[in-house]
Amino acid sequence: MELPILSLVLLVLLLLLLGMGIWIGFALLLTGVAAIAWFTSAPVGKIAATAIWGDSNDWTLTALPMFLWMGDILFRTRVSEGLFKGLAPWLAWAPGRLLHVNIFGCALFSAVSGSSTATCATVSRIALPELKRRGYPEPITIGSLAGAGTLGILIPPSIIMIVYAVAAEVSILHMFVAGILPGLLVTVLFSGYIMLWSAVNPGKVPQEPLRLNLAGKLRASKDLLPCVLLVVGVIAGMFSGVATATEIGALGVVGALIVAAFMRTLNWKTFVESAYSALTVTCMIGLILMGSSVLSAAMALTGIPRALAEWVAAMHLNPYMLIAALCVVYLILGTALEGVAMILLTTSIALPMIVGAGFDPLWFGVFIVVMTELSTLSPPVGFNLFVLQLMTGRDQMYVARATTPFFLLLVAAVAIMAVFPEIVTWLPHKILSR
Amino acid sequence: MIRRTLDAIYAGSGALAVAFLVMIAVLTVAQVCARLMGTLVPSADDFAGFCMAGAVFLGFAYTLRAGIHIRVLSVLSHVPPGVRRVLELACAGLAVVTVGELVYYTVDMILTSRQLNEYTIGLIPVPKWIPMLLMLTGLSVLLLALADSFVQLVRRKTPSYMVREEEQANSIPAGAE
Repeated sequence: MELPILSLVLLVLLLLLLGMGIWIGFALLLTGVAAIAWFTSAPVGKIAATAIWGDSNDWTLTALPMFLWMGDILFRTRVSEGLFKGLAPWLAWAPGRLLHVNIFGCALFSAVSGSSTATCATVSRIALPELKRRGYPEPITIGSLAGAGTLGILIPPSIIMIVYAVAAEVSILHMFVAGILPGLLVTVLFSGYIMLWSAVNPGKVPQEPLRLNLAGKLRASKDLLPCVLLVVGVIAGMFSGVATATEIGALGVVGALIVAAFMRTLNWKTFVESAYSALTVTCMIGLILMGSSVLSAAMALTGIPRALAEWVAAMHLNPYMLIAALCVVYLILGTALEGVAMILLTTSIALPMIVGAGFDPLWFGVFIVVMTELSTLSPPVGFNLFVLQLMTGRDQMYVARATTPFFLLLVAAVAIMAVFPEIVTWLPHKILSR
Repeated sequence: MIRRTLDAIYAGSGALAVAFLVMIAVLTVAQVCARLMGTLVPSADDFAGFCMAGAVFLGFAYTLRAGIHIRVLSVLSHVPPGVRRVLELACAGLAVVTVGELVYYTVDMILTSRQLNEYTIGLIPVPKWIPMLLMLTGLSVLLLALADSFVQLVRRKTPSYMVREEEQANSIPAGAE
């Protein structure tokens, strides 16, 4: 069969499998099996078993359960209260006042959590009722929480980045460090938007009677301390160049347990629940990884990614056009698939094309993470929209509308990073290439 | 009786998987401590990798029954109940066949590995077929759980993952995003 026709047949098969509702891992696996069986004379079953075993006992993957567990332990503590109380006095002066707590609270929690839903839910839990009580308008509160919550996967640690790093065979630590400056960029964009918004709508931001002197501010921040210490520890570990990602994650688990003990939320029940929660999400990702192991092996055997890369290269596209086109593809994919599936499905196919067009694999990693962030903000299955629907009782259209400015700011961040790719690549190469 | 035995198998396999997950943390922290004291835990990376395989494969069935394995529900939730039943049967049935084949080829892989006398290349060489048994066990329990769900669907009962998926539609998703 001709390559383009076969690719189309496989694509249709994949869509049918996904649409009928089979677990995504099996859909990827069966598509891979079909590709090998129809296209090569290689022994399908043996290849599948070996590929799955080879990818599953890889120790770099162990970073995944560690960071999931760390995040889950913190999610069960009262760290969210500390975030609000500790940050509010420092941000009350800024135009937009306590709305900035949403942004910086999410950014800070993102540095200990690898998931954007957890980040969004953790910060919203306290910020939503507090801001409502003080009379902040609901749409901008919701929008900023949903938007800034997505920082959870952009600012390291990040589960999505681990998955990408494994799929693209780049270092998890490089990927983590590559996310730092883009994370700060998005934080600044969001915060800047809130200032601009409050300048345009001066009457809508309530006065903030709470004015503390420096001593008072520091006292209020003491609840923030455990979280900040953990952030410093994680970042220092990443920059040290000696610890592996798994080691940082495992020490992070210990650190999170200490924080939980300190906040008196640590008991046998929360310990076991957090371990089981980390396990089930690990296994959920594991099943998709299992499918993508077979699919990647099939792709390597069939040569589809290489052909695609050559085809795209022959079109002599402007690299910005390529990125814009990929943006559209991922936005569409993101409305139906969740991030892990989207990344594992596309990386082995798209990466040769991207690298051929002159982009760094780390850059593409950050790009795909931002695309996943956008997917968590896209109806009908966007997770962050869903978190705020649950927490506010509003319907999805209301939440999606409130989130639109932040969605557009993320798209703007992609454009900025496409023009200045150094925002992504400079820091990891500077720090880790010694 | 059979129901309770099956559920106990999934739960036991899940508990073992959690133990492997905790072992990853223990091994890794031990390795960091050892390094700070100028020594090392022999083959720690290999063993952490085996623990990873243990956690993932042995946790599959538990995760399936808990409704955490993701699938696209947008079509299923919009078709009439009769069509949905057919599709659910097709999903579970296809999954049974897929995992059944995988179990067969995992046995094949293990036998080949024994024949070739393959060892890991670490300070402590381990015959590769031993950790491969984790994959075989985990996939076998998953096969059992899928077959169980298929039979439940045939007998017009609702497999637990469908019940849990309904429940989770009203709680904060425990995803990776």
